[in-house]
Amino acid sequence: MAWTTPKTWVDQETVSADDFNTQIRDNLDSVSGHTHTGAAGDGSATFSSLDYIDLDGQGALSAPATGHTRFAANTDGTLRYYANGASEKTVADTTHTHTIGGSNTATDDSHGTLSVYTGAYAATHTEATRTFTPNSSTGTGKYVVVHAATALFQFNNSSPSGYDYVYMRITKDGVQQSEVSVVEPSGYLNRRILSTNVVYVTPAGTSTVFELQTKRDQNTGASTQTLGRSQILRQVRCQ
Amino acid sequence: MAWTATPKMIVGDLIDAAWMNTYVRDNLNNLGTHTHTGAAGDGSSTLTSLDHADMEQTGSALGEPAAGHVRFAAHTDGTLRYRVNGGTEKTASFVGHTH
Repeated sequence: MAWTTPKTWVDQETVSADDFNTQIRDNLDSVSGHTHTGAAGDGSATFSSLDYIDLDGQGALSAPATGHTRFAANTDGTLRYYANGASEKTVADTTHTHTIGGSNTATDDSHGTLSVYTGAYAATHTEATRTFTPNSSTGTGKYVVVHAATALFQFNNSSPSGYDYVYMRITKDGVQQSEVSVVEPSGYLNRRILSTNVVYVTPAGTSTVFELQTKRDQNTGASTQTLGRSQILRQVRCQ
Repeated sequence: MAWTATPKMIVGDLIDAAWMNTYVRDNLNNLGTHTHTGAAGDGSSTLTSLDHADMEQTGSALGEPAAGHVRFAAHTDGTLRYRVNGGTEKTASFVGHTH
């Protein structure tokens, strides 16, 4: 029933049946079924001081009109909303938990005995390399990626006055992320372990190249080797 | 337009223009724009059996509600937003969201 703006009455006016029907009956009927669209007679579109709303439990929501979002309670006790053009969603509460939505691991270890070269890190050196591809490379979900690397160095410097610096670094797509080093005074067959790790939080991406690289800075000609190199990449995405 | 409680009629009462304008016209106008504050003539402040509410989406940032109130609205991006008095606008999360 359409709303008619209530008229202004004047004294001595004869109130007709049309007046009562239009001004009172129809307007009362209109208010009785009002839906708060904000149109005249339909109630304000803004509720400025509600205490609460008790929603009846519903089944699946249907789509609201264009430009609207429907909000309701489901019979399972959850709150639901459905934006036009989207799908029904359930509101999460503060105690919600996440499960592992995707994870994978890549390892790269051993390599046996390898020489550690003097000078800059170089592609011509024998490196431990691992190409890592997330098991999901779409969307905006973020992954935690842990990259850990360890190498066991053996020094073969027998000179009493000699020393040898060794370095190890890990890279991501060719960019150094962490570097560690140790100096070893003269000591034939002495061994040292270097390890480092980096944690990334990134959106899912395509293939990424992670590397463990070594180099040395020595004052003697004695060789230095790694007896083992190992790196592990662990990726976890929560949902 | 304030609500005016309608007096109980008794036999012999004269219904004049002032009566009609106060108790019929003005009260109907008041009902026509009520906001459910719980005040007389403004609708109950508790809605106890709604099936659902279709909210018109807005792309504007939520203004701050009055003290002691929380504003709740739908955004044009399809999310639900709320803002507590003294706080900032927040987006409700949904089951299945990822990090």
